[in-house]
Amino acid sequence: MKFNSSYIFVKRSIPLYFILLGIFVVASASTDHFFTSENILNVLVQLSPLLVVACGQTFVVLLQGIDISVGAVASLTTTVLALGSFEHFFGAWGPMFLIVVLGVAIGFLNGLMIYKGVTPIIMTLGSSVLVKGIALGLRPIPGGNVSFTIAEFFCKELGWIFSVPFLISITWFSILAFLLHFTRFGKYVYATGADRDVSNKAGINTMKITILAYILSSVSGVLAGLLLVGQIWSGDALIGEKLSLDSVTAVLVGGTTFEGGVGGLFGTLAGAFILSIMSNVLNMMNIFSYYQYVIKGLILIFSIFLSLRLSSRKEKSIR
Amino acid sequence: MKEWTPYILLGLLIAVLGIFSPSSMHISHLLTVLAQAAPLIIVAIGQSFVIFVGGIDLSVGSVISLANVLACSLISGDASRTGTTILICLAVGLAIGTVNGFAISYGFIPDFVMTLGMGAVIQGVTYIFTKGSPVGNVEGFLLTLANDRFLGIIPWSVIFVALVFALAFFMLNGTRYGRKLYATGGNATAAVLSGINVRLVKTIAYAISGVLSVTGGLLLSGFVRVASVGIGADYVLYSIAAVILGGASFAGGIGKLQNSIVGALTLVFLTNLLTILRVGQPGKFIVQGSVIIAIAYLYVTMKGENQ
Repeated sequence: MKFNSSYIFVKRSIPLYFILLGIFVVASASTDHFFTSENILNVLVQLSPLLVVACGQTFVVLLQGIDISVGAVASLTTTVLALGSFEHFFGAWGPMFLIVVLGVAIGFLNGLMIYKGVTPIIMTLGSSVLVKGIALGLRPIPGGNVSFTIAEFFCKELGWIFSVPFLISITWFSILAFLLHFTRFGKYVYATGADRDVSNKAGINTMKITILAYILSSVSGVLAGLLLVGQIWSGDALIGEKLSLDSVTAVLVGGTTFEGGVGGLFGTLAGAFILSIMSNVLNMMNIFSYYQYVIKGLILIFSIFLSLRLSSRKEKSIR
Repeated sequence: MKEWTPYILLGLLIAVLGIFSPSSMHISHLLTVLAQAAPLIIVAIGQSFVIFVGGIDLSVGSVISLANVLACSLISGDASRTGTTILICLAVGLAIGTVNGFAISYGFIPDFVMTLGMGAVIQGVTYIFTKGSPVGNVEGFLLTLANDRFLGIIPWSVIFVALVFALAFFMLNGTRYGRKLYATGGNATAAVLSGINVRLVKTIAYAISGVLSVTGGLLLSGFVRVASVGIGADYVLYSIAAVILGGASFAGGIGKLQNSIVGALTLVFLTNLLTILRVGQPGKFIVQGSVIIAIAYLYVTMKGENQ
């Protein structure tokens, strides 16, 4: 029997796309400005860092893990890019090389320690504090100048609803979706997430899979940081903090569960879109940003509540 | 060996502190550090209940902030309103904790998601309540509790923490509830089969965490005197780290309350040492993060040896 994981997980996320469509229709109907090319362009630019991080986060959550450090990694990226002196020696793209290496190193450390048995949340909270310290050391207060070439590239608008940040995020999504749903590596991620011991016995190098997943997540954080640089044109050691929990929210709303091995990137795509559009619509309806915390929290709780109610695993958890 | 690790770590840390700054070994300075550690210890006790039962409470930070702004605006400089305010705040904490516990044990929402979502909701409520600019200050009892000393020697906050600890210790080690809590954390299915009302046990643990977060928040308000919306944010990491530094397992059923206190003290003394060494905030974050990771890894390797 042919096991086609991609088909199953696209199918699983179809209801989410109907919800997304519903939100889209309601949004277009209730405010005049939602369905304009300028606003859609804006939504897609705002969405891009979240989508990028959420894609990486999906791999980690599929492994029954979590990566709280991505937000700090994104912040660190902006501070490294705003290091003027570094650029002086290595050219405009020098800092990019440095930050990618740092990102891989952080992901490697996370993955290795978590494979060795450190609880994911403790490990990534720890590395998040560590990375935040480095970022604050580089730039105690927001500021500095990012190379004009880089900043301009990461915020370029390409006409109609398209922009470089959005295209980058969609490309990153496509690459990771290909990795997860069409390669052996992806199948191993699902297998390792569902049952690590069995996967080990089946000959999967679960240590490699775990480390690679956390590296992907960390590098996603770096990419999101680059996209943030396109928005703020400077370094800010705290700018990315929100991304950690927002990305987990997007992944969970997208139907990937902490039980491991269930879910996928097509759900995450819908989850990220739902969160971004909700946020945009709430802004346009002049709902004070303070209420958005409440609404976001409730969306998280209720979407998980619903997805667990609807899932076939219900009987299992009732006992 | 594993049993003594938290104490050895704390001992080493205090020894290092003594070498770098002999004057800080003075008993009155140690009592001051202990007094400063009081809010964290109280929150860590609540977090211990939740982690021992196999869960996690990520809403403690927002609850502390809410308690702080609530207390400051309700008391608002009038000491006579303290009693009512404390009761209201504790009721709010009890309600939040109960909702958390109820949803987790009955509604089948994973603990992580529920308390994360609850944290976001409470944070929003705090902002809405204060409209972003919190007002008021605490007076009277809370100030006395946080800043005054019994007979001019022992801080009241230390005595208060000792009382809370004694009560919690008795609950965990001297009552049937404590035994049920460890049984539930160790193996929920076995606990159900032996007739334990697992849902009730879990709900009570989260309720305790809610109440103790508020208690910690009130005590903290006594220290800082004024309202600040983000005051509790760091307590999520620190309370969890304290319990883990104490050697508890996230799987539940394993852990000692006294070790969590030692874990909290380790964090506080570490921060104190860094301050004495004139390490700035970035350096503190770097050291704290590294220490948390290193000790968590240390426990993992020790667990491997035992097996």
